[in-house]
Amino acid sequence: MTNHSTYTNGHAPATTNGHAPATTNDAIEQRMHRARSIVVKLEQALRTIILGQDEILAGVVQALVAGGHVLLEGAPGLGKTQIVRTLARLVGGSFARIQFTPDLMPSDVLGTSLVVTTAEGGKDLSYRPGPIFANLVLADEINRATPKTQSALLEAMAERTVSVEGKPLPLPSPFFVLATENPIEMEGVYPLPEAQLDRFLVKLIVRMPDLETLARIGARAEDPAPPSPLGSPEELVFAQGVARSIPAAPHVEQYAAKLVLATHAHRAARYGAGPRAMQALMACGRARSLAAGRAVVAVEDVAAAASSVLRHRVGMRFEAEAEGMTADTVVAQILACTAVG
Amino acid sequence: MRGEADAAADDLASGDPGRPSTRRDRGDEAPGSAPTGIASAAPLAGVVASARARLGRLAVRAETGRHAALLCAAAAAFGVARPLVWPLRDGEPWEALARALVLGAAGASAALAIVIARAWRSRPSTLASARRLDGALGLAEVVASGYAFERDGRDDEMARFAVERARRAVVGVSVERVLVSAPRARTTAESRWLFAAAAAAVLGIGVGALDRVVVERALRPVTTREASAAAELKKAADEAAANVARDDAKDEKGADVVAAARRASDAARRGDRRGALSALDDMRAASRALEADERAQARALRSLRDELEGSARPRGAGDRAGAEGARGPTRPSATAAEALAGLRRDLAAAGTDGEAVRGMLERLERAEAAARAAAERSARADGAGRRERSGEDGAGRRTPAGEDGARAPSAGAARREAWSRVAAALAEAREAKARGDGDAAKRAMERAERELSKLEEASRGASARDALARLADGASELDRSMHAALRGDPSGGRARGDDAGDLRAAGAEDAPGAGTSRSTSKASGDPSGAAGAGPGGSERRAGSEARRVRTGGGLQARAEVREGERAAGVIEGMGRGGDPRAYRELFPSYDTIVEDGLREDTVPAARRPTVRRYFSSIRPGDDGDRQGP
Repeated sequence: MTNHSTYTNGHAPATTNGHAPATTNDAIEQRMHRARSIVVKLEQALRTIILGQDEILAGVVQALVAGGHVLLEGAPGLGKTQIVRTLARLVGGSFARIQFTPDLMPSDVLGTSLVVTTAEGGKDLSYRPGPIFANLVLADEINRATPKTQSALLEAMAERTVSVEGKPLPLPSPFFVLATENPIEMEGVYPLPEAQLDRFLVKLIVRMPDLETLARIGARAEDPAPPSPLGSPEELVFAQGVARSIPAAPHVEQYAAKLVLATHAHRAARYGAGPRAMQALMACGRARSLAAGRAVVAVEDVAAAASSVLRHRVGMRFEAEAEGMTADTVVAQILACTAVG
Repeated sequence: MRGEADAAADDLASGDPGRPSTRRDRGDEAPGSAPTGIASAAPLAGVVASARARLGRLAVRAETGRHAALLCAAAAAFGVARPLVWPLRDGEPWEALARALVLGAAGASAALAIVIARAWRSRPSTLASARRLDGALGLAEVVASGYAFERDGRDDEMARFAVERARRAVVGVSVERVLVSAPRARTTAESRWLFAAAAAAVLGIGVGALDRVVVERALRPVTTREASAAAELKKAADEAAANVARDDAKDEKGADVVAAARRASDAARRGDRRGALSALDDMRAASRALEADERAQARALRSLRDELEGSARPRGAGDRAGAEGARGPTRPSATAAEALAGLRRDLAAAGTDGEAVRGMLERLERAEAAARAAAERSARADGAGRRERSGEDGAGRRTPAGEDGARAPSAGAARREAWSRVAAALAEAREAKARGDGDAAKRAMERAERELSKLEEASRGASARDALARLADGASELDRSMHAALRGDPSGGRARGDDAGDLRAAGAEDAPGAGTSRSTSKASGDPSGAAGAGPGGSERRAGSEARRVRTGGGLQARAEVREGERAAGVIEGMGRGGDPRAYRELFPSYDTIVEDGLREDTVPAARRPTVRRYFSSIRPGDDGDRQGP
């Protein structure tokens, strides 16, 4: 029995040694290793600055590697802005912060054309880019801006371009929008429309740290020193490329599709997630598998990303909300009853 | 397959980016190989298949343990159903326990088969098995994804990398060691259920092992006398069977008697008194049918003899058989064959005496009619018997059990043919004599004589009758011993019967209790009140006894009481309103005894017709109204 059930390939495993030439697999291995080290270092550096938000940090980094945008929801003072600021320093790219207010105009985000005097003394229109033209953009309290200003972000987030005077201007790469919103102060806010919510790869809930973390935060006499950059933004682009190349088995893709479809069938859901959620699930799964050093997307990766990917894409019924159900409850129930394969 | 795998592995390990990684890429794919881009051989498929089989076995084991209570319940249900599903019938009492155990095991096996089939069918799919293998190895989707890529023939770089990683992960892996059943402790409720089910199984098999015979045997064990009587009956049945076979009569009714006797003996030996009594009833019924046949045959032979002798018809004025030859012989013949021989001689001696010849031809014609009538009766009786034995129901439908009986040639058919041959021979003789062909008439009559001799020989069948009589005696003894055992009398009432017999032997006619088994059994509370089985169904002693029989009219006659106490009881009872059915059952035995006695020349030839007329006059009628003297 053992003879039949103990398996050998009959050939030497395709591993490399010091003398062997680099093989395709070795190259892949090295690429993955390098990409993973970027992700891990980024996450570890963030953790040294931001205490008690490990899951949020992991989610932010994975969204960054997946090439998506993040919507952070949490009470003031939980470190949302600090996360983005630190991330910008670590990545080494440009950083811009936009404080969304009701009187914020789209031109304040995208930029505006000014009348300037040319060298010949004539007048001309000159485009001055807005804060959106940065590698990392912090859209602070995005729900305080008017829908018109919020929608100005739509094209930028989805197409990674800005149309100025009918001409598309590409945004820098990498381009990462991290928006925050305050769930407490609902007076004078403009809830984000579903179309814009769908542009965010994930929505992360920043929660209050626990007692031990708070004590550690309090023990800090002063804010930690700003971190030194880990590399260039191109390294992040490289990691994003490696993540995108990670394959997923059909049953994993089917599992993700089942999850997305299940949001429509749930009794508490007024509407469910769309195909973009499917893409988001797989992208997050790839990023997570890269962070874990795996060459394939696992079901666990998809399941782990499901909550942050689906929670802002599921519209709840009033009856369900009255019963105290949330989108997270719906996603948890879907995860519990969805089988693999 | 191994070569394909090696080639694929070499391709993967070559590391040459420009080199096609598989034979398919190189364009030299082996004919008939699987159209996969990775390798024709699929090492992961093998390990996944093994993992699936292993998981199936584990699932079977787990499900069997989980449904142990169900298996016990099935065993209990099947064990309890033993009396309905597999009744004991002719089996030994200990077979009830064996059968209950077998049924219980069968039930548990059936339930186990269902559990196993369901568990096996619900075993994980290959992909799920690969995922379970991942889980057991502490991997996250490595083997499962690699297996999926390998199965789907994914040819991209990362997929090949994933497959290679998966293959490396399973190198040296023993699925038997990796995939083990999770330890699972039974809950208290489960343990209680299992205990209850096990107890139910034991109880069910125990209840299934309880048979009526077992209970009866436990309450009233088989007495020594019952065992002895059963053995005697068995021996008598064997002797009777040998006689029936030796006579080559193929008499189904005789075989029925023997079979019923054997059943009764076996049942009594097992302690199945109800079954034994039922078999004895069957035996009595078969005996009555057999006797009815014998009686009919004897009557037919007598009738033929009387017609041949010319004594059957009253001599009226219109009877012109005034001549000596036409009136019949001066000395009556004992048998029909003798009568025919006498007629043949008379016919030869008559010469040209037309009147005498005409008278004798008329006797021949009447004898022929009698033979034909006998043939028709035999045919009717044979048809009825065949229908009864073939299992036809009232609507004429045939049951499968009766196929053999319907096909086998019966004694009735042989008898009918014999009678037909006699009739044909007599007709031929008559016609030949009418033509004046004396030789042909003589030959035909001799042929008829031979046929009649055979019929008479078969009718006499003394040895078979004796065997059947012994069978009846044995049955009677068994009947009494069983009733005595049911009453709680281990002696079986033998002492009482012996005392009565002694008293009768001493001439004490009025001795109480000197009755038949019927009267005795009734007087002593015999629940069945059954008489001894068969003719003279009573205790038979060695040799005949001379007893003084008192008839109803005060006439006392010394008689050979061959048929035992029952005969005496029946005759005694006739004068005070006895049971006419018992008389009808008893009389056929006298019929044959009379014929035997007349044949032995102990009765003067001149008195034989008188004796015959006497017994004809006391013959019970078919309507049951006529009784004995």
